[in-house]
Amino acid sequence: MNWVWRMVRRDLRTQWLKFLSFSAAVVMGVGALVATEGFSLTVKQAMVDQSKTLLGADLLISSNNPIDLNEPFLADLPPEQSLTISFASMARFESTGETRLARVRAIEGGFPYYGSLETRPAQAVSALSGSEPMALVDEGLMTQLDVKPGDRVSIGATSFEIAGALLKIPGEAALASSVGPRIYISYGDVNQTELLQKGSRVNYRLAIKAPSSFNADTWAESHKEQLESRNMSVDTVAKRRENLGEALDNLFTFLNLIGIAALILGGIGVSSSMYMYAKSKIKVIAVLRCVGATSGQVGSILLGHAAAVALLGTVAGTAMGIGAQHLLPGLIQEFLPMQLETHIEWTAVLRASLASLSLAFAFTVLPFSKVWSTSPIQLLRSGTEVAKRPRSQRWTLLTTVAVVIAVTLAQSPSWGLGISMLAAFAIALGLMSIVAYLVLKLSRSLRSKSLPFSVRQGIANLHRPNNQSLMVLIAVSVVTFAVANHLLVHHNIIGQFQDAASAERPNLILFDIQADQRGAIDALAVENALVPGESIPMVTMRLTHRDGKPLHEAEIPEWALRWEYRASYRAMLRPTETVIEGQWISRFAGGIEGVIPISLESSIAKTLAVGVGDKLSFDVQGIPIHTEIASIREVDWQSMQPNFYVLFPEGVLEDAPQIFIQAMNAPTLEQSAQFQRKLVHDHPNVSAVDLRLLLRTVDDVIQKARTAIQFMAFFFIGAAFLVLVTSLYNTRNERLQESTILRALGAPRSLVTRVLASEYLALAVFSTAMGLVLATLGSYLIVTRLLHMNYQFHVPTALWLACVMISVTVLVGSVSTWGVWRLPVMTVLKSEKDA
Amino acid sequence: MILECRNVSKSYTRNQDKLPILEDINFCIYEGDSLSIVGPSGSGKTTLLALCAGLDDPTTGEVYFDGHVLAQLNERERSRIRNQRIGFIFQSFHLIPSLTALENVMVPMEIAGAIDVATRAMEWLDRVGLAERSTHLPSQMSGGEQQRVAIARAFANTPPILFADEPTGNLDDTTSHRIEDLLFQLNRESGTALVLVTHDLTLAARTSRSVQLSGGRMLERTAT
Repeated sequence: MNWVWRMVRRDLRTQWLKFLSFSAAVVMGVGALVATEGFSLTVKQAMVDQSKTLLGADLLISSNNPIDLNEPFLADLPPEQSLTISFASMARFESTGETRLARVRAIEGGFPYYGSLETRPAQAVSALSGSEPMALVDEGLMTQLDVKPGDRVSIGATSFEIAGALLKIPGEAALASSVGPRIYISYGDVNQTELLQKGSRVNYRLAIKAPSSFNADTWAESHKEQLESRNMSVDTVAKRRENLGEALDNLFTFLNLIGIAALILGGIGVSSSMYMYAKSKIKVIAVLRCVGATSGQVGSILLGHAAAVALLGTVAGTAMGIGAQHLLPGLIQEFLPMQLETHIEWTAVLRASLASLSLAFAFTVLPFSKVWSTSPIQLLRSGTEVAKRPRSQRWTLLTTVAVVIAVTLAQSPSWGLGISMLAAFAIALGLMSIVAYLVLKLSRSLRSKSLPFSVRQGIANLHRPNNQSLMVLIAVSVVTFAVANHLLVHHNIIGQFQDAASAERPNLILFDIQADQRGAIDALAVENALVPGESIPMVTMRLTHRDGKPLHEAEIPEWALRWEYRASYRAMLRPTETVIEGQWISRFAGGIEGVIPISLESSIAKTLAVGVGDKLSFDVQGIPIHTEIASIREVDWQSMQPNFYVLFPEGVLEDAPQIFIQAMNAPTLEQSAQFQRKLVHDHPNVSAVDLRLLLRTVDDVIQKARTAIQFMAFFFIGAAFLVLVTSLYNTRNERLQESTILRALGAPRSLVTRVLASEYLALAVFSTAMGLVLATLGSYLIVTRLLHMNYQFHVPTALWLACVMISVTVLVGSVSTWGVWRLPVMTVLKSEKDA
Repeated sequence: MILECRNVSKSYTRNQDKLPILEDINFCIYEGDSLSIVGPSGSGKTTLLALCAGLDDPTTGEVYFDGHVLAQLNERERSRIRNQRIGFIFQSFHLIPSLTALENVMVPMEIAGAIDVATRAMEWLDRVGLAERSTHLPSQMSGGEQQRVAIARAFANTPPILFADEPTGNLDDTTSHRIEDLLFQLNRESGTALVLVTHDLTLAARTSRSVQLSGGRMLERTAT
């Protein structure tokens, strides 16, 4: 064993740089895995440490109706309680005249009991308990609208002085402020806003701080029926942690998928490099066998080489992963409701490093299994083939597959997910390999005699033995696929919103219009050069029975029990609606006592497990009505126009309590802002959303998510890029020798350069085209099947990316063979002979 | 007697056709002997060398080494024989490129588990006149120097027999003569039997006996 170790050490002495270049392919994968593992442990630890802060209390009871604290079943709750009212309202900032839809919250009592509202200035929160109407406004909104403490904001009928900026709310992600900016006011000032009217959409929340003797989960479980019957939902620390844990598990699965994919891709790359190295070692192995080394001893030396490569890659990757552990929290912090502390999780580092090392080792050792039983006769007869597939190779292949499966499963939250992840990756890589193989095969037929010699030779070189063309094709197409897929999906999402928010289509949506305000709002719109659309009625109701049975007896999701359906009525369907089953009934003369024929949207029909002919009963603000499903509709939700799950015919709900929604067209943002200022002044209960501002918010959220995704994608793309570099670099000798032969035959430098350029260009064009085709397919599936949007292929993105990828591939190839014409012909030919 | 080929034949099967390489070869090699195997290209010289060294098995007949039938030995026993009882020299030197001259010479002794390996390897390098190049890598040495290191490596475990396949085939005339002199000098001094495969009749003439092959058959056995 001592001798084996000595031999490995001697080889490392002269070849460490080569080993380091081989190991480069796995560095990114190891880095991604170490970073993900460490980050996941940091987040989980933060979740445990800050679990009570996530809720701000021990128990939260929420309802869309006022909570009656005199209810007998609430009597046994601990006395330390706090009530929060929240509702959406337009806020008008008086200093700038700007208006925004905001989430207004009014707190009575000591909530949050765990953690605190962080404000600037720090003592601003105490201003809410003063006698003057004061407000705290989300810092993001204040910065956006250039508003400062001391300025005033109007909410409904009341003007509030801004006491300070809200920096952090316990249990809420910072990103929530971009999606729905929050304004905190005193509980005592809510009524003065005059916004809480019949039909207003208000959420009531009771927060309870409990002594250690009180078990919130037991209480919630034992009062489940009372809570459900009153349409109240309950949240406990354990429940919140579980829900958040599930969401985070999905995030970690995604990050793990990238890490494992990068590591497997890198593993395949390093395996490919090691294959070339193993082939070059056949003579040395035969020499060792000739001087008496057994195949076991030779195998041990080669295992040492494989271990050295895997170890170098793991050490470099671990260092990179530790660095990334520091960066990841900063990128994802905004999406998380708890504060992350940046530190190195050594347990995670060790775990991920060991997993990576075993995976990298399995891949590096694979090519050696073919050569370690090389016969010493190779020295006398170099043409003698090494056994085609020795038994050791079969076993090594099986072991490698087993290690890949074991590591993937160990890194996955569940076996099912791990297996799906592996299957998806195997299918993707298999598909890519098949396409690459077919492309290479097809390229043979491109060698037409009418083409110049340099082009013919360049394409012919793709089939040169040991050229690793397949590996380069896969590496470039993987990078193209990953980048193009990401960009095309992003363009499609943003494209949908851009279409919806275009100047020609309705781009301003007004909510909560009372029936008697419709005429005045239409007039105000015309006065401000806006084009008012139709007012759409909205009636709030609850589902009570399905086919005559109370809902708690029906097996439907819990949320459907508490769901407030906002239904509408009209005589005609819109172009965005298509009846797929049954028949649309436009008018019903039977009144609310009869069985009313309604139309149900297809996805809610599926959730409720109902179809045409089934009966549903609703409670329309105290009045029971009975309906029969006459038709099922498909709705184009991407149209960004008011759409409804439940649609009634005319003649039934006209007298029910209702509010109206109205879509308008404001040609410019300035006209929209001017109209909204007047709207908030004249009709403070009406809310407005400009789709162009919503588009900015969506884009902002996507950009933030993209940064985090791009950071992890960097590892995957980096791994593929390194595979490309090492594949081209490792085949440098083959290109060098061929170029030298051409030079020996009298080819000028320009011809040699053209041949090499043609080869790289052919590789780049084929692989980029392959990556783009697969990315188009992938992005189409994501956009249409996962996001349920219409797909649009973005030609400029594809063209731009194709140019970049082709240039990069040609550049990397050129750098790898730089100076080929400077080497003396005899030196190269002699080294070939000696090899 | 160290080695005996008794009725040795070798053939390969290619596309279901039997391709005879060697037929009915018989000869013996004794301690301190020197024997050349000569013949034109494709006559089976290298195949015969491979069979004698236990690198390949005959189709029929036996090769006896130290009284054992080589084909009946397992892989470990053959490795031990190659390490301690046989030395090899090749036309293309076949030094291990990542090892220095000294380390290349040390390898067979290290495999054998010998002690004081570095000193003994240095002595061998000194005997071939390369003590001063001990720390050099093969790529830093000329062809003649590399072959001298290969000779030192072949003699390192003082084997009773040494096989040399075209040992001067890659060298110029002057260097070739120096290598030949060295080989025969060591053959005499250490009593190692020398088996040379060559098509150089001048070199063959320096051995005590010669086996001439043509079309896989032994034409004659001559004492030179």
